[in-house]
Order: sequence, then structure tokens, then C-alpha cells
Amino acid sequence: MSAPLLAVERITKAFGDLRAVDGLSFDVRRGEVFGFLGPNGAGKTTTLRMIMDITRPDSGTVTFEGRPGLDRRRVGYLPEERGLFEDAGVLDTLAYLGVLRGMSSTDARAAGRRWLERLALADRARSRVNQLSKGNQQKVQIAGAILHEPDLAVLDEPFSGLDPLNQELVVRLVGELRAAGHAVLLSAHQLGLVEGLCDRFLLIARGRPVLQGTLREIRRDAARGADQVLVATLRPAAPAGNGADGAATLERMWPGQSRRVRTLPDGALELELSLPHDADVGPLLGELAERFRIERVTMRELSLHEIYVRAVGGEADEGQAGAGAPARAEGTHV
Amino acid sequence: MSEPRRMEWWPVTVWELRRMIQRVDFVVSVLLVPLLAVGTGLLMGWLANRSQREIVSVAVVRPDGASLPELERFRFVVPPPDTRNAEALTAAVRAKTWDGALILPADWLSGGEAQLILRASTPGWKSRLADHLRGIARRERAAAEGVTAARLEHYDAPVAMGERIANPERRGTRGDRVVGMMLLLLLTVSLFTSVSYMIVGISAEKAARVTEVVVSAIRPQSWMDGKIVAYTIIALLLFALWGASAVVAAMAFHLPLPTSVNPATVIVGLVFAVLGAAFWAAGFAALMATLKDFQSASKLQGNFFMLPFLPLALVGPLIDNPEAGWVIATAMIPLFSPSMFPMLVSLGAVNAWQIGLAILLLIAATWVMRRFAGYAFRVGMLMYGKDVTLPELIRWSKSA
Repeated sequence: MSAPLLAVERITKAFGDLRAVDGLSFDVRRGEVFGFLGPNGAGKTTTLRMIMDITRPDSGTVTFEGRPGLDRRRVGYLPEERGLFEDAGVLDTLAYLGVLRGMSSTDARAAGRRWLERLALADRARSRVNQLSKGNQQKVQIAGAILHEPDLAVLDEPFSGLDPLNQELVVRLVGELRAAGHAVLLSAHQLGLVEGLCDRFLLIARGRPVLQGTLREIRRDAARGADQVLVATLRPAAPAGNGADGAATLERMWPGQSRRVRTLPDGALELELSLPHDADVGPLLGELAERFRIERVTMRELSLHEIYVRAVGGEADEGQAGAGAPARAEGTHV
Repeated sequence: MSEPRRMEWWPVTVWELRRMIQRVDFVVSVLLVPLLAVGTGLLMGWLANRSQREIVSVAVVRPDGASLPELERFRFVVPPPDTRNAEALTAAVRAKTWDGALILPADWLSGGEAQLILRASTPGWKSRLADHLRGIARRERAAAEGVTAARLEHYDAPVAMGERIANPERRGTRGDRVVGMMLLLLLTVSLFTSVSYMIVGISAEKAARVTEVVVSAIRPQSWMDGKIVAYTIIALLLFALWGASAVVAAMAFHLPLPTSVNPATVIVGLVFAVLGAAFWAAGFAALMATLKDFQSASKLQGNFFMLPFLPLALVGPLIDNPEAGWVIATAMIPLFSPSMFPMLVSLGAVNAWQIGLAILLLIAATWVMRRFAGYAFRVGMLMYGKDVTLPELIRWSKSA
């Protein structure tokens, strides 16, 4: 395990009575993508701004390579509140952002051209920024954040505003950064995209850590003993049986076991039943077979989406219920 | 902070200058001002020339039937006897037979009211005609009392008054005064133009949300410093370009240029121009740092936008009594010193130490302004969609 490139130690930030970030600690290492997740208003952007020295923490420290503060030239930042000089040229803008981070003008223009080529925007180099679509502007902003090949790239919602193809492009870019030994601190809501991309995760809610670790670790912690899911597509066995009766039957079976039941468009029922990783599914399937015709059965692990909902779902509810209530921290190993 | 110090403001300055030069409206306005100045000069010259050649015809009805003594650019006509009444003269003036008609009653020398019949508006020549009448009345009244014309001329002879200057080394020439006034006007216009572009530029950047992107790369103070240097250069470029245009235009129109100018007047003027441009750029950077967008400018901070013109209001008192204590004290204030000190120097009203003190105060104020701008930008840039309040402004001032 390499030494942390970025270390955040118990940082706190309050705006009036609201504690936006409350004692958050984590580190990011070279050659890893660190997923920084949480619901809206959880304090992610405030944390990233403190890391970038845009706002100062009330307490706690941010160190870069073990030293306090940040060398802006070695960090790339894609802020959530982002924009470009709308009447400036695309390549000029990239070159300017590169020069601001310490590149020579020649190197910055050359790097800008390479990135525009990479992002299929080479023919728009001389266009004004406001002549680009929103998605293309977003790609230019991403290029501007990593043009100077920073040791650490801090990307706040890099996928927002992009179509699926361009989202995949950004996923590939982030993967390439990791492969080249750069560290990436990534905040995003597209959990399906980041699940396979991030090496480690930190889930926060209401400014506090909820889960932290690898996907396996946070899955274990969030699962609370039920870290795999049985997914079965069923039809009532009796000819007269209907979907409503079947769903009610499924809700009554195996009391205390977390599940989700929904009716599919063709009338079939889909059951998602959370189980311990060592659960014997044979008897369960037998019980199901007595009441239903089983069309399809699969086993899978908890997805990041499910982990997220389990971990912070209650937090979001609490957050809406009252700002002063303490954050729930069960299930965390931080 | 482990971050090494470097001239990170310089790319901002280059970027701002490049963007400004690429702005069509900026280039047009820069070139338009000399063209407008020349055009206005030509128009005013033509109007003055035409006015000089114009002869005003006035019908005169006096009790004795005589006309008035000659007056330059006037032609006095005695109308035919049957038209020497108000109605007929009014009709004739309306018909543009004459530009005006003057009826003097029999007692006009002893308080009787003369009547001047005009077409519609009161013309500028009326005052010249009134002066002419006053002179005639004076002479005729004097004659009636037995005072001869020679005696009257003796009474009116001016009193000779020479000047003995206590500090002849400080006395400025007419050329110095012209240069002082030129510097004042040029600096005011250049400053106002450059800060206007700064206001538009910063508010557009705030609206486009580029702030956080840039400030992630360099310190807010560096960003503000880069802008301050850029807009100082822009103000000085305008100052030089428009100043040169004014000289060229004056030469082209054969206007009298100052022949003898004290180099100190020019040097002090240029020093204050450079420092003044920096001060106002820093001041408006600080002002814009506290605004969320251009519309906010109409609120609290909008009151500051006309400040560059304020020194013009003090020109009258300054010329009237340049050595008055309050004038010099007011001129020491950095808000006024860039515009007022060159004029005070041109009038020989200030000492070297006063100039030095004013320069020091101006430098100190510029430094404070740039620090405030950097701090306000750092704190205020994340206040998206929120106006800064007066208490916040005061708190930031203390923190900066």
C-alpha cells in the first residue's frame, strides 16, 4: 500500500448553525480512484473545496504528500459549480488553464490539442466556447482539469450533463489516469458507473462518514449480515392465482428477512431477497416452488446502489426530518 | 502552505489584455474617442466660424428717430415711419425682415423700459446688445450732467496691478496649467473606460461560473492582482493613446499648444497617472469582488460607480484657491490625488514633501484595496446568487 498522496484529518466546517462537514478523515493514494459519495447536501462539495483551499476548514488539516496545504500545479480540479470563458476560444481556454497551473504556453497549447483530439473535439479548437453544446463544454472542462497531468485529480460530478457514450469516455479517461499512477478523487451520483471504477469509497451523510473502504468492505458493513441477494422471477402456481395474492404471499414468507417484491409488466413477480453470504438457498427455493412456478433464479452481491440506499437512506430521511438530529453511524467501520 | 511562490498573476494579466484587445467593442470605443474628439472639434470650429460671420439685423426705434452707434456683427436699421409701432415691428420680426426690433421709450435714460421684440427664443446676442445700450446710456447720462467723453474715459481707466511672487520657483506657466487640466480630463476618461470594462469582465466571469475553476489553479489574490495589473495597463494605454490623439488634433487644427512646460509637471502627472490607474483598478476589483452579478451593481455598490468623476467637481475650488489648506488636504486623499495633484503642481501650489506624502498614501491605499479585493473574492466567490450585506462588507474589510 503506497503512502497517502492526500490526507484529510478530522476536518470540520460549519455555516452558521449548520455543520456541513463534521470531523471527516480519509486519504487518497497514488494509482487509485477514490469514490466520494453521499446524498445531496451531505457536504461533499464543501469537503472538496476545503481540499482545494477554496474554503478553509474550521478545524482539521489537509496534507499533500505529508505537508500542509496544496500545490495547485499538481492538482486538477473539476468543480461542481463550473463554467468557462464563454467568448474565448476552446484551445485558448485550455492553454490558459494549463498556463495557470504552471505549464509553458507552448506545452499547454500542445497538451490542449492532444486532449481535444482525444475527446473528438479537434475540429472545434478555434470555436468559441459558447458555440459548443453543453456536453462538449463539459468535456472541455474535464480536459482543463487534467490537461497538466496532475498527481491528483479532484472531479466533482464529472458525468453530469454527459450522454451515456461520453460518460463511458470519461470512465475510460479516469481509468487511464489511474493506470498512469495518478490519484483520482471522484464524487458522482452515477453509482452504476463508479461501482466498477473506484478502488475505495467513502460514503458520507450530513457531513459525517457512514461507510469507508473497498467495495467488498463497505458491502460487508452495509449488509449487516445479508450481503447477497437472491433474485427470482415467479408466477403463481395455481391457475386461479393472481399477482396481488402472490405478492402478499411473498411479503409474508421468511419474516424478518429484507426483501423487495414487484410486479413485472407481463404479470410475473420479481423477488429480491437479501441473504447472508452462507445462506442455504435450497430450502428457500423449495418453499417458493410449493407456491409459485419459478421461471428464473440468480444470486448476486449487493450493488453499490443498494449499499448506498441502505447506508444513507435513513440519513436522508433524518436530514429532511430535522437538521439538528445526530447522524446515524451504524454499519460504518471508520 | 507548501506551494512555492511564483508570478502566477502574470498569465492572468496576459489573458485579460489579450481578451480585451480581441473585443470588438473595446477596439471600436478606443478608436472612436479620438475620432469623436476630432469630429467635435471640427463641428465646433465650423459653428464658431459661422457664428463669427453672422450679422444680426435689429430695427431701432428711438424717440429722436436716430439709430444706435455701430456695434460689431450688428446692423441697426431705422424702419420707415409708418412701421414704428409694436404691432408692425412684431409682424416684421415674425416675417424675418429683421432678427429683432428695439423700441426705446422717451424716458429710457431715466428708468423707462426698453422693449426688444424677438421671434421665439432669447438669442445669445441679446446680452451684447444690452451691454451696448448700457454704454450708450452711460455716455448720454454723463453728457447730460456735463461730463465730457474724455473725463468719462479717465474715470473708467483700469487700475494697474502687478504681481510679486513669493515662491517664483514653484510658479507654473500657462503651459503647465493646460497640461495639468489635460491630465485630469484624460485620466478621468481613461479610468472610467477601463474600470467599466473591468466591471463587465468580472461580472461576466461570475455569471459564467469560471471563478472556482481559476481559483483552483491560482490563489484568489493572484487572480485579482493579475486583473489589477491588466486594467492598469489598459487605462494607461488609453491615457497615452487619447493624449497623443489630442495633441495631434490640436496640431492639425492649429490650436495653441503650450510652449513652455515644466518637466516636473509632466513627471508628477505621469507618476500619478500610473498610481491612479492602479488605485482605481484595485478599488473596482474590490468592489466587483463583493458583487454577485452586474445587476447587483445597482444596489449598495452602485453608489461607487461614479466616483472617478468626483474629482471634476473640485476643479473650480482648486483653481480658485489652489493653496488653501482644505484643498491640499482633500487632494491628499487617494480618491482625489491622482486627478488633483498634477493640477496643484501645475499651479505651483504644493511642496515636494506634500507630493511625496500623497504618493505614499496612494500606494498604501492601492495595497489595501488589492488585499481587500483578494480577500473579498476568496470569501465572496462562493456566494452564488447572494448579495453581500453591509455587515459582511465591514467584517471582510477588517479581515483583509
